[in-house]
Amino acid sequence: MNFAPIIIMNVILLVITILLSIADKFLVTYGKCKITVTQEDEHKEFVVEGGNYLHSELISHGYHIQASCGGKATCGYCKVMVKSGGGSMLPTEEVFMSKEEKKAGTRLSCQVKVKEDIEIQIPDFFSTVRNIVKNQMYDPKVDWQFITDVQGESLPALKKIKVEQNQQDTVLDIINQYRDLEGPLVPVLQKVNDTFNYLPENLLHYIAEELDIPKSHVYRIATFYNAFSLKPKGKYKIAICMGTACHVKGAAGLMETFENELSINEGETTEDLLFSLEGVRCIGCCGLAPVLLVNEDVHGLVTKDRVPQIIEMYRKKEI
Amino acid sequence: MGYLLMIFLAAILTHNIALTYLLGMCPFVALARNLKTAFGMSIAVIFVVTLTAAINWPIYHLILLPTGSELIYYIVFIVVIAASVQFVEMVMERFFPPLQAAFGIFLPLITVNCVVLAVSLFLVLREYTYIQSLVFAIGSAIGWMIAIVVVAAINEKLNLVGDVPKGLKGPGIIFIIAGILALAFMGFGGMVAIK
Repeated sequence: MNFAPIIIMNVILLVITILLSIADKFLVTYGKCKITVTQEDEHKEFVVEGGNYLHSELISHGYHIQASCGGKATCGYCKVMVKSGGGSMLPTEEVFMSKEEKKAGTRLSCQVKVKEDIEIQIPDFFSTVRNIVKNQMYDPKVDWQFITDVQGESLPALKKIKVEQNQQDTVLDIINQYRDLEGPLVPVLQKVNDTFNYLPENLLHYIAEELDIPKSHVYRIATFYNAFSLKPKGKYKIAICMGTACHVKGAAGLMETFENELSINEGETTEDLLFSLEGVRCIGCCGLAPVLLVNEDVHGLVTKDRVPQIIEMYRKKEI
Repeated sequence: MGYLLMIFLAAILTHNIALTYLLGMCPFVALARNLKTAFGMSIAVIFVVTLTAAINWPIYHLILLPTGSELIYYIVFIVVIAASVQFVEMVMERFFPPLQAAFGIFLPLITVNCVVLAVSLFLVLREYTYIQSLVFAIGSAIGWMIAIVVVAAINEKLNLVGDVPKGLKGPGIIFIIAGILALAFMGFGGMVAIK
C-alpha cells in the first residue's frame, strides 16, 4: 500500500501550520495597548497585548457585551462608542449603523482590532434592562415606558388607560357572559368587534386586565384574525369580489367607481363611519360576476350605473 | 514567446474564466453592482491567483509527482490557497493598512472563490510549464477582471437610467448582462486556440 500521499499531506499541513504560527507571532504584534473604558461615569483603564479584537478583550476584562453571533459581525449587538483609536469603520459594519450612530463613532466591537491606545464608551441601555430582569421588576401585563431621570436611573411607569364608563359597562357585560368559558378571549373579542365595529385600543387593555391575560396575547389574537379590525370600520362593509371571473367582468372599474362615489380608497372607511370599502377574493358566485357584498346582502351583475343606487339604498336606511 | 502570448490572450478572450467557464459566479454576482468594489475585488483576485499558481505549480511538480501522490492535489491546493490568503492578509494588515482598507476586506472572500482553485487545476490539466502557468494565471485573472468590471459598469449605468424592471434588479439583471457579454465574447472564438 502506498502511504506517500498521507505522509505528504501531513507534512504539507505541518509546514503550513508552522509558517502561519511564525507569521502570527511576528506580524500580528502591536505591543502593549491601553484601553480606556467609560461606563456609567465609571472610568477604567487596562493594558492588553495588541492584535486581538476589542470585543474579546472587553469580555475577558469583565464587561458583558452582547454578541449572539460570536463576533462575526452578523448580529450587530456589540455596539460601543469608540472615542479615539481603532481606525475607520469597515464596510461590514455599515449595515448595522444609523446615521446618528455613524456620527457618534459607534462601532461593532467585534470588528475593531486593538492596534493602538483606544478610548471607548459603553452605552448603558443594556445594563438598565438587565437590572430590571435581575430584580424581577418585569411584569408582562404592564405597559412599559422608560423614563430616565437625572441620575440616569430608569423606572418603569404605568401608562394610564382611559375607558369611559358606558364603554366599560358594555364590555364588562360581554366579558361576564364568557368569563367561565375555556378560552374566553375570542368570543369576547368577537362580541366587542360586533358592538363597536372595531376593537378600540383602550378596550383591549381593559379586556386583558379583566380576563387576566397578557396584553401581548390579546394583541396577537386581535391582529391575527381577519374578522377583527383595530381601525374603525363602517357600519356597512362593502366587499367587492376581485376574483378572476369578476375581474374579467370589470371589478376593477367597479372598485374605482365606489372609491370616487364615497371619496375613500380601498381599505378605508368614510368619515361618518357608515361605509368601509375592501376588495376580497372569490366569494363563490361567479355566475353573478361582477358581484359584491354589503354586510350580508349579495348584489350581483353590478354595473357602474347602479353604484350610486346601492349606496343611496343604505344611506336611506339610516335616515 | 509566441506561445506565451497566445496563452495570455486566450485566457483573457477566448477562454475567459468567468464568461466561458462560468467560474467565480458567486462573488461575480454579489460584487458586480458597484464599479469600485468590483475593481477592488478583481485586483485582489489577480494578486491571489498569480500567487497561488506560483506556489501550487512547484508543489505539484516537485513534491506530489515524484512521490506518486498526485491524487491529493485537490486538497493540497485548497489548503495552500487558504493559507496563502491568510498570510497575505496578515502582511497587508501589518505593513500596508491603506491597501488593506482598499481591498483587504475582499481577501477572505477569495479563499472560497473557485477561480483561484480552477486556475491551479487547469495548470495541471493542461500541463503548462512554470512560466506558462504564471502567464496563464495572470491572463485568467485579468479576464475575470474585465468581465466583472464591464458588467459592473453596465449595471451602474443601467441603474442611473432607472429603467430596470423591479423584478430584475440585482442578480437578475447581472445574469442577463453577463449572458449577453458571454455571447459577445464568443465572437473572439476563432482568434486564438489553446488545448
